[in-house]
Amino acid sequence: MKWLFILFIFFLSCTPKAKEDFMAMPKHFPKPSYSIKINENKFELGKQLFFDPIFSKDSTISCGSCHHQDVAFADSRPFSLGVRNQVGKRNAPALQNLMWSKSFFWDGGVGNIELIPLNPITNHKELDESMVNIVFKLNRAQTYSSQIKTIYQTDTINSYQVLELLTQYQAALISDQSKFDDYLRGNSKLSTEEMQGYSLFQTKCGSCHEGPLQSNYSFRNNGIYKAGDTDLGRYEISIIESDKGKFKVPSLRNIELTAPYMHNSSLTSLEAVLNHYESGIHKTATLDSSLRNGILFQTGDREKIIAFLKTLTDREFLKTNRYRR
Amino acid sequence: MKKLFKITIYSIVFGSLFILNSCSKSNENSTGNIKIQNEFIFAVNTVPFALNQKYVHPKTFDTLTYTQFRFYISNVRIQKEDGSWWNENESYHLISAKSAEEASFTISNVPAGNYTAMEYTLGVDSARNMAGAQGGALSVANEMFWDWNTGYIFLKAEGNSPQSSTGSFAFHLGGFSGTNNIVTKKTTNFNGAKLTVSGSVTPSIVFLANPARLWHSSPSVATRSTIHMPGAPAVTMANDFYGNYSFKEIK
Ligand code: HEC
Ligand code: HEC
Repeated sequence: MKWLFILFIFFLSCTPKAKEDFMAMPKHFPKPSYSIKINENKFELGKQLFFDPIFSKDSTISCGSCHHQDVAFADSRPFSLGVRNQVGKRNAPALQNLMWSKSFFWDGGVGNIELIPLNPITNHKELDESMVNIVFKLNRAQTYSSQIKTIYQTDTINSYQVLELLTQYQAALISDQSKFDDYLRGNSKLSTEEMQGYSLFQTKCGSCHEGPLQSNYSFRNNGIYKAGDTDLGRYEISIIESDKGKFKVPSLRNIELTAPYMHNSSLTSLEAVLNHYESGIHKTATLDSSLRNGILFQTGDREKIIAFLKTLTDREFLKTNRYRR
Repeated sequence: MKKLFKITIYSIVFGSLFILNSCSKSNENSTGNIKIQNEFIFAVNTVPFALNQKYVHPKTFDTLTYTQFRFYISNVRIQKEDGSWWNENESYHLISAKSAEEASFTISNVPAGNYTAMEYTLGVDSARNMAGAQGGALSVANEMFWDWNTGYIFLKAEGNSPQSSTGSFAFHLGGFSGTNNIVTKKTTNFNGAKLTVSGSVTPSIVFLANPARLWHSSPSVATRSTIHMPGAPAVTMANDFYGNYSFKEIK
């Protein structure tokens, strides 16, 4: 009879204590590509892993070493420093609203949100580690054993769970508290200048930077790529000639803070970005047809567009303690 | 109230134990296991293949020592005499030439009966390539996954060769979309033989895998010693190996 009682207790202890789904989904966003329910305990542990240098070969850097909250989890360095101060070839983008993205990295090489961490982990210039070894080190260190026990009812963690935990943290990086969001929710108005900037932005930039997240997640050549470049973008994944020099259209949320801009960090200010679209376009075979003649701005247009872009800054996202270790 | 609750729980637990128990009893007679084995040969049936042994390739004349040879078999189904199919659940298996044990796997809970054909896939279906983190044979811990270009490595052949400029070779074959797709579905009718599944004996289906076939129409490792992404060279190699992979016998 005693064992039945134990079974009964076991059932009781299985009931979830952590708050499931504690992040609210922004109602004015489109339908997300992933429906990930954020569990508070998993999110908390995922956060600790994100900032734990155990993920690198020589225990010097973590995901958080290249993705900084105060700049929307982007990196202000043109090219982030990995283990042994090695320099990569692309700018680290902001990490935000990833659940809405259709693919990850500038070339869209990773097709599923849960598999993102494998790329920086194994990249020799980034963390230069292996998943197998990280799991081994985590289990040996036992730093998180009580949390692992609470979440998974096991003493050790496996690679599947490490990916799940990091996904919980990354998926919860939702930026939806900007002035623009307030406007979309109907809670506040944009200034006249911002409003004019918004409509200029929609006509001139909206074919790629579309919708409330300013991206349709397609791959385009916006004239940054030039003859002789070794980074071929989407082509490196698809090996289709017409993809040479195409990169994923990035969201422009928090863009005020994520300089330098573009995959190769070639532009350092928003003014420089607009100059690029007007007169700096490199003409290669795959250049987007809409940009062949550049984008023309009237006097005052640039200031208006920049005023609009600044409404995309979400101070709450940049400073909330929720994302801090 | 508390008491009533307890009684209910007890009866649920007892009841389900009873049901589980009775199920497993009747299962003993109505289901059985099948073992799928892979025999490795080099170029010809009379030359058995093993890792860490030197072979000279009959076409490229490269001297090859394989340190690793692994590939996926998935989505196994077998066909009964009456034409109906039985599908294995979560059917993903990683085969390795390292040992006889790692070169085989067992399918369990197969309904008893006579079977006349088997369908299987060499590689991993596109749905699983695109799905998120997974466990078992598809766990990323097996290091059969491209991290920068989402997708499984369906076949990994690595080793050493003095003909390679680096002294080594590494062929990672995969690809599940468009012209790079090498997901290969195959069937065998067991060459007319019958596979009998019962609770008492476990029959083995033996397949022949020939790692020399990678170079059936691909150039010497002196010309190309690595493949690390989907594309035409991977398609050629995979087609040659997969096309030749075949049923040998039922034991
Ligand atoms: C050495 C610096 C560095 C480290 C460490 C690093 N990253 Fe990154 N991250 C980058 C760079 C650079 C890119 C852009 C690379 C590219 O697109 O090819 C990037 C891109 C990303 C993206 C893609 C975002 C998008 O919208 O496409 C995600 C998500 C990400 N990193 C998460 C992580 C996680 C999780 C970790 C820890 C496991 C991590 N990063 C560790 C530098 C780093
Ligand atoms: C044809 C599609 C297209 C149009 C039109 C377009 N963009 Fe872009 N934009 C892109 C792509 C693709 C990138 C990334 C390119 C790269 O990194 O090589 C990008 C990058 C950017 C970036 C840098 C983002 C970052 O995180 O580094 C900014 C800022 C930007 N665009 C603003 C604009 C503005 C403002 C307009 C309108 C005046 C505009 N874009 C029009 C496709 C487009």
